[in-house]
Amino acid sequence: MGTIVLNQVRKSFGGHEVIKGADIRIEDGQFAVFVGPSGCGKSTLLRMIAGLEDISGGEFLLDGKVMNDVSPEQRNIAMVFQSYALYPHMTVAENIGFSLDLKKTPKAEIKRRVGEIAERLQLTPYLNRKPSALSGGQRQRVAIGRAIIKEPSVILFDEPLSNLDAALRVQMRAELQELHRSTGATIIYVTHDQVEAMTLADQIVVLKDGQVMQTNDPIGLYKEPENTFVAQFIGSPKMNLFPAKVESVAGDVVRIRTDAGWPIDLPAIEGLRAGPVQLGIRPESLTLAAPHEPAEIETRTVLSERLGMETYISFETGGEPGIARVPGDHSLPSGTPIRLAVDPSACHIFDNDGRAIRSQSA
Amino acid sequence: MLVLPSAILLFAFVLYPSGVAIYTSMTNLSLTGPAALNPRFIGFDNYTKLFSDHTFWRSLVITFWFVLFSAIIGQLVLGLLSAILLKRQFALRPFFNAIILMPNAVPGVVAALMWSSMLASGEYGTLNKIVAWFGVDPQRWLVTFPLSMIIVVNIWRGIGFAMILMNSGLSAISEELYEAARMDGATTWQAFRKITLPLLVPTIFLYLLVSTVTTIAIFALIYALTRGGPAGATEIVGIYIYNQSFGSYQLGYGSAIAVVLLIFSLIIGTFYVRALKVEV
Ligand SMILES: Nc1ncnc2c1ncn2[C@@H]1O[C@H](COP(=O)(O)OP(=O)(O)O)[C@@H](O)[C@H]1O
Ligand SMILES: [Mg+2]
Repeated sequence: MGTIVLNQVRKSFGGHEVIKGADIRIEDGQFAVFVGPSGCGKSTLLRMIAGLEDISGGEFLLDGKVMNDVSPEQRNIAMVFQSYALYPHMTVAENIGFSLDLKKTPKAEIKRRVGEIAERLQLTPYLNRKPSALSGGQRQRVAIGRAIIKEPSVILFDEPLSNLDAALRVQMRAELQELHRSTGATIIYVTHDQVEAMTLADQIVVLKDGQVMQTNDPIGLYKEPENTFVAQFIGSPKMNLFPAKVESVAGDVVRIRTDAGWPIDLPAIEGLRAGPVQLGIRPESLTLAAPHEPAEIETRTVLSERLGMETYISFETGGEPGIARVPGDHSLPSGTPIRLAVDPSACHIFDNDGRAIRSQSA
Repeated sequence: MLVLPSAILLFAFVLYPSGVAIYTSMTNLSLTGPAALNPRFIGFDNYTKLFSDHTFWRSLVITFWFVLFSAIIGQLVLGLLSAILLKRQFALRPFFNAIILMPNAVPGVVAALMWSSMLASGEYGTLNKIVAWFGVDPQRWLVTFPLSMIIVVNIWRGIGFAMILMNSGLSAISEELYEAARMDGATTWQAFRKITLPLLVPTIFLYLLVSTVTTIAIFALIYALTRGGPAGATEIVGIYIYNQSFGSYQLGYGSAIAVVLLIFSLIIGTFYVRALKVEV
C-alpha cells in the first residue's frame, strides 16, 4: 500500500520558505509526476517524502499514518537519485544487495534475490562490474535495482533521465512504465520536462515557486488548465495568450476582441462579464485559412520554422509574436500576409490574475 | 630534454649524497684519531658489525613501536576522528581547528621545549600541577614513561596533518552516497564502515606512506626532549645514527646504519605505493 497525502506541507531553509503549503494526494499504485521549472522545489518536496529533509510545517501521511518523524528506512520508500549515487567501491551485485546486507540477510538469499532483480533489469552479465565500468543506462538500472529489491510501497525518482541521451530516454521511459506495471508500487517522479510528465504520468502535479499550481491527469491539464502558468507550461510550443476584452455577451455567444483588433466568437461562458481578459489559444488550434474561407486573425508572418510534416509560424500581434502550429510544409518568408482560423471550442479565457474562467459544465 | 633539470636536481640532492653515504659506510671514517685523516676502505665490515649490534636492533624495535603507536595508530585515528567531528558546523569549530592544526606549524625543537616544561619533573611541571588536582603525586614523566611520552608528544604534533589529509579524502565522498545509504537502512556506524572507510583507503595509504617515512626520520623533537635516553629507551634509529656518528665519532658506522634505514624506508614506501596502485 502506498497512498500519499501531503497536508499544507511547508519547508524553510534558514527563514527562506521554498515550499509554501503544498496539498497533494496520490493514490496507491499511481504514477505521479511533479513537474515545474528548475528551482521550484520539486526535489525538496521529494526529499521530505523520502525523509532526507525535515518537514517544517504540515503533515505527510502514508496510508493514513503521519510520517513526519519516521526515519527514512522505516518508511518503506525507496529513492533513485539524479546522479544515481551508486557506491563506487561496490560491484553491481553489492550495490543492489546493499540494503539486504545491512539487514544481515543470509548470503544465499541475497544472492538469489539480487539474481532475480538483475535478470529483470538485464544486468546479469554485469553483476561483478564496478559502476565506473557501466554505461549511463546501465547505472540507471542498477540504481533502480537497488530501489526495488527493498520491495518498497513507494519509489521516488528525482530527474532520473536527465543524464541520458535522447534515444536512451525514450527507451527508459518505456522501461519505467513497465517497472510501474510489474511492481505495482506508487511512483513519484520529478522532472522539469513536460513531455516526460505527459507521457509517463497518471497524475501530474504542476509546481511553481513552492506552490502547487494544479493537479490533474495529463489530458485534463492540457484541456483544462486552471491558470496561465499551467496553460503555458504544458504543451509545445506554449499556448498563445492574447490580451483581449469581452465586447458583448449575446445569448449563447460571447464576442471577444483581442487588443490586436481580432474579433473572436466563443460559446457563452457562465460568469463572464464585459471587461479585460486574456485569451489563450494553443498553437495547434490555429489553422491557415484559404482565401475564400472565414478567418478571425489577419496578420503577417515573423518567422516560419519548417519541420517537414508541420510548420511553426510566428506571426505579428502588436506585442509578443504569436505562434501557430499547422500541418504540412509551408514556405512563408517573413512579412507574408496570412489568415488564421481559430477553433472556438479550444479557446481558453483567463482573468487578469491568470485564473481560468470556465463553465462548470465544460 | 625536459627531464634534464629534474635529473640534475635528483643527482645533486639525492643520488650524489646517497652515493657518498654508501661509500662512507664502507670506510672506517671517524671524527677523531688516525681514521679521521686517512679513512680506510673496509668493505662490508660496518654491516657485519651492525648485524650483531644489539643496540641497533633495539633502536629498530623502538622505532617500530614509535611509528606504530604515534603515526599509524595515534595520529591516523585521532586525525580521522577530528576530521569527521569538525566536518559539522558548530560555534567553536574554528577554535578546535586552530588547536589541532597549530602543533604542526611549531618547529620540532620549539615543540620539544614546550613539552619539556609540560613534562618537567618536580611539582612545578605543568602536567604534575594538573595531576595534582586529582591527588596524584608528581611524576618524572620522561624517566618513568619515556617512550609513551614521546609517542604522546608526536601524536599531538601530527594530528593536524592527518586531519587535513583525511578531511580532503572525506570531502571527496559525495553526500548523496550517505543519503542513499540512509535510504538503504544504514546506521551511522554502518555507513562509516561500509562507505566512508573503503572510500578512504587510498587517502589512508597516502597518509601512511608520508607519515611512516617522516616519522622514521624524526630527530629534533626527541633529541631535544630525551637525547634518546634514559638508558636508550627512546633511542629511535635516527637518534642512534646521530649518537654513533657524532657521539662516538664513528661516521662510517653511522652511515651504514643510515643506509640500512634508507633501504627499510624504500621497502616500506614501495609497499604503500603498490597498495595505493597509483603511478608515482
Ligand atoms: N539545503 C538547502 N539549503 C538552502 N536552500 C535550499 C536547499 N535545498 C534547496 N534549496 C533551495 O530551495 C529551492 C528549491 O530547490 P529544489 O527543491 O532543489 O528545486 P528543484 O528540484 O525544483 O529544481 C531553491 O531555491 C534552492 O536554492
Ligand atoms: Mg531538483
